[in-house]
Amino acid sequence: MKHLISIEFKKALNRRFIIYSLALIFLPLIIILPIMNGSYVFHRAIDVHAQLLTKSPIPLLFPLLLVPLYAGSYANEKKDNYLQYVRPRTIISEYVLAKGIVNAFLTLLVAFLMIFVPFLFIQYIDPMIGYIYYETEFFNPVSIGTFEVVAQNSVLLYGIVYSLWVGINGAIYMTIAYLLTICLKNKFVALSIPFLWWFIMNFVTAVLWIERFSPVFTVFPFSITAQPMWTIFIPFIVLILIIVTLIVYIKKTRKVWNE
Amino acid sequence: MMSLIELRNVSKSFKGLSLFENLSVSFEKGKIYGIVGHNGSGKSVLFKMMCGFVFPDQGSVIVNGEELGKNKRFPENFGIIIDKPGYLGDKTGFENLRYLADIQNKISDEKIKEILEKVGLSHTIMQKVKNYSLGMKQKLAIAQAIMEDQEILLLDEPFNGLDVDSVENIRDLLKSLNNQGKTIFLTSHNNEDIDILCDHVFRVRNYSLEQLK
Repeated sequence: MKHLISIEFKKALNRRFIIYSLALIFLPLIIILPIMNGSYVFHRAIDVHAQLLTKSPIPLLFPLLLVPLYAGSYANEKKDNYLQYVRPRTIISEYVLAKGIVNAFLTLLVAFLMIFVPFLFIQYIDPMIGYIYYETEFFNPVSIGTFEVVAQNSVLLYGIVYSLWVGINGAIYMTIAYLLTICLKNKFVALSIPFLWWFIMNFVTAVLWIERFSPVFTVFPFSITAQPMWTIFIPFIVLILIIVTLIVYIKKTRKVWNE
Repeated sequence: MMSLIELRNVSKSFKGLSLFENLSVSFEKGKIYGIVGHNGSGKSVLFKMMCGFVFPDQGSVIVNGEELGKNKRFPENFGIIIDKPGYLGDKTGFENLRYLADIQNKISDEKIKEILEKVGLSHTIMQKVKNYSLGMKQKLAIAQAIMEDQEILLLDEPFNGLDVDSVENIRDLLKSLNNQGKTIFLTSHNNEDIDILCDHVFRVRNYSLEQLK
């Protein structure tokens, strides 16, 4: 299994992947930060970080932005008949598991860095260069959301926990996308479903006045008032149940073996 | 003498269409077998049963004395081309073979380069496989089927899309592999390929295999 995972890493880490990942990680800092700087009143570095995420397209398009990383690899190999030539060489279920692990790990890493690198810049690098303008006279910071409680103990821990939370959710969404490419024939439908879920559930929870359970406010809890920590785990548990259901379905229908 | 591959009382339907009924046949080591038949007659399904990709509805397939599906899912040492060439479109031909070879980690880069030259593809081509012509993809498929010194080759239409010179080259290659003791099964719509290469020829007919040669 270790061997198969290392082959998948080699396959995944190509120039396209690296350029796309760097764009996801650095574009909010390069494009949005200059627009925000001076247009808002900031008191603390973490306010800037929260506002950067609010203003970027990341929360709006979250699952869609992560799809190009590696979630479509199984679908591509199936379409191009490559899997047929893998089958005589290894146990196909182990191969597919290795792909799933690499997909989840790479998504987690990139999504983590997408949040953590801007955090590091804003919190630790900018104070040395003084690029961001802070209001110092009227200190009246607003809440930065649910993870504020972590920041009260340690700002670095806040950055790590928040970034890790987004990374884990990214990995979960892309694992669902990956599993759907095994279940469904149409790759585009399979890869779109996580985004449709994200979009529709944000709408539905807003209509039902239970926005605190919406995907966007549980993955990126930057709403104006902090919500109880337990609320963010409700959609998370639903996603885990979806993954378990898909795995059971794939095993029961022998999808990987019969194709 | 023990058969290399034996099908015993095999019946198989595919998508509601009966392809084989109570088929029994055996194949010996070191020969070249040709399988002919009209489109949709079941040649590819026969190959898929022989390499464990699908199981018969009834009967058994025995390879090297072991029944597929009992102790073994896939037999070892099979080189295959079934349906069409398979590839990673955004990689070069060399990278494609390297990734496949890495799975079993049996052969070196030098061996891959040697095989690419043998099938008529230069290992220095930096073109991605998605931009290859059909003939080039076919050569790549042949390369992956033989690169790990596979003992049994199941080649479904291996000459598809090849130009005249390449057909000659691949015929010579298959003959030399056969001389080294490899057992080869091939299908072709070109009777000349079958006549020149095969020791024995079977036609898929009336849900069974009829021996022509």
